[in-house]
Amino acid sequence: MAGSDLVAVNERERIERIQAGLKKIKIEYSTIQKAQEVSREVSKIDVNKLLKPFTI
Amino acid sequence: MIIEKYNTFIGHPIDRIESVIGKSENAKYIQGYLRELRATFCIEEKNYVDKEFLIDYSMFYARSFEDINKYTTRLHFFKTDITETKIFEIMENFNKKDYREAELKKLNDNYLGFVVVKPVSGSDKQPLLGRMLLKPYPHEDRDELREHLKQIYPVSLYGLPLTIESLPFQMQDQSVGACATTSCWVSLYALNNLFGTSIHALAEITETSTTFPGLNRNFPSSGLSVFQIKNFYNSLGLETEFLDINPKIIAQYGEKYPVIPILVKAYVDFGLPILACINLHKNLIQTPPDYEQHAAIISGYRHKNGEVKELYAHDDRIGPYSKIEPASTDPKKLFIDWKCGWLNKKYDEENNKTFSNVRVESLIIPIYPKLRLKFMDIYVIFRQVIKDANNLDPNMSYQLILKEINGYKLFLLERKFPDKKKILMRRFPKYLWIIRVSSNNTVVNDKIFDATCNYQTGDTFEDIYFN
Repeated sequence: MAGSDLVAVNERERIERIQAGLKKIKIEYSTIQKAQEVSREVSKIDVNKLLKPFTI
Repeated sequence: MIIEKYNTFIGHPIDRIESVIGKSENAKYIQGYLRELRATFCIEEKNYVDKEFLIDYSMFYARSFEDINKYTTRLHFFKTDITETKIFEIMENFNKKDYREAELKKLNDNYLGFVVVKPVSGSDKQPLLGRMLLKPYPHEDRDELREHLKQIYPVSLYGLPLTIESLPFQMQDQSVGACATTSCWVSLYALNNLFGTSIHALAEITETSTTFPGLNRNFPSSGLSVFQIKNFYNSLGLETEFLDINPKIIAQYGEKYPVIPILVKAYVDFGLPILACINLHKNLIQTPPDYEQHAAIISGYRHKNGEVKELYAHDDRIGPYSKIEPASTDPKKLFIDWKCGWLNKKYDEENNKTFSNVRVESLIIPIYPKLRLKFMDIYVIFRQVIKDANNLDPNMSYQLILKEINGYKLFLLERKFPDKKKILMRRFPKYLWIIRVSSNNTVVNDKIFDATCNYQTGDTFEDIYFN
């Protein structure tokens, strides 16, 4: 096998190893709950600030 | 006021435009920007009818006691000298197809865009610069790339068809709208391109926004509040996504993929404008803080292998494509505080005091109502994927992408992956959030989420592993 072919085979094996690891990732319900909690958190702001106009 | 019926050709080197655009800070910025674009020559179009100004004129200036002209001056910029003889020669020989195409290509290759100069002055007694379409900074910059919101606009110079790829911009004209109004105006062009929403002039935006009342005057404009901005976008049938950039919350998501750069990349690549609400601090350590509020549109970014190095803003008090660097290199605070043109601006001329800090207070993104999965919802999932995959390989990188299905299917068509035909035949929602995993710039996996759902549950919509 030529050197460049060997590099390609090694690269393919490396990517397959990554893909096998990624397949195990599951989005749990707790992550969704956390996401919604953060979404609520970043939409909280002092209402008085929101009424202040952008004057500059 | 007698308006000449016929224009004569007025062309001159770029260093003589000061007599037309004036000496305002905005005008100086434009001159500097044109130098960076290597502009050398300018053609002056007198008594140009600019629809944007004409609407503002009819809604505000027409009822002023002062005698105000309703026509503008439009300046066209080129990278090379253009003679009157050459323009007349093209006009004369326009029916010869090969000649016409060759000459128009030359003109277009050297065309950098235009600036409309309004016949009204600002508080500094200098002319106000109206609608402008200027070429953005080049896409490539050594080993880095720039991405901008832009689309191709046709321009007619004495009937000669030119084009310019740009995002329209204009400087602040406080009679008809302050910074938030101008930001809404800029955003309309990007939104029109994406969702077909209508374009409105500054005075129209202010008028619609202020149907949600504020305490200040509507005209001359005293500035819009966040609620008035939201009110305007709602009137177009759009939703808005609001993010409070609370440094304490945002800092939890620091390290390699901080909130602001990931958000900017996702939305700008999709073509969405981001309205940044910023606080201009006079003294950061003072309690309670003393600051002014300002709004600008984040219109682009510069990156190296996906890592955002610089943002660009259409800021009506500075100029188009104004550069923003992060004030802190701490990844947890990346782009929360800005190093930008505002740090040189004086808020107290008499005592020579300049703003000490520029901080992003919140971000407003006008979105199509069907884009229901919120950025922070998907961002938390994005962070979770990165965390779970942490030890798989040192060369991995991650992107959060918002994509319309037709564009994404074109991307899929060019790639090889298991069940390709089955996946391409599958019905997809119109909009997708995609968590893309790459290794050494090779895409290895796309985790696809339905962006039109309220919240993501269970498995991904599709999970594609590329060969």
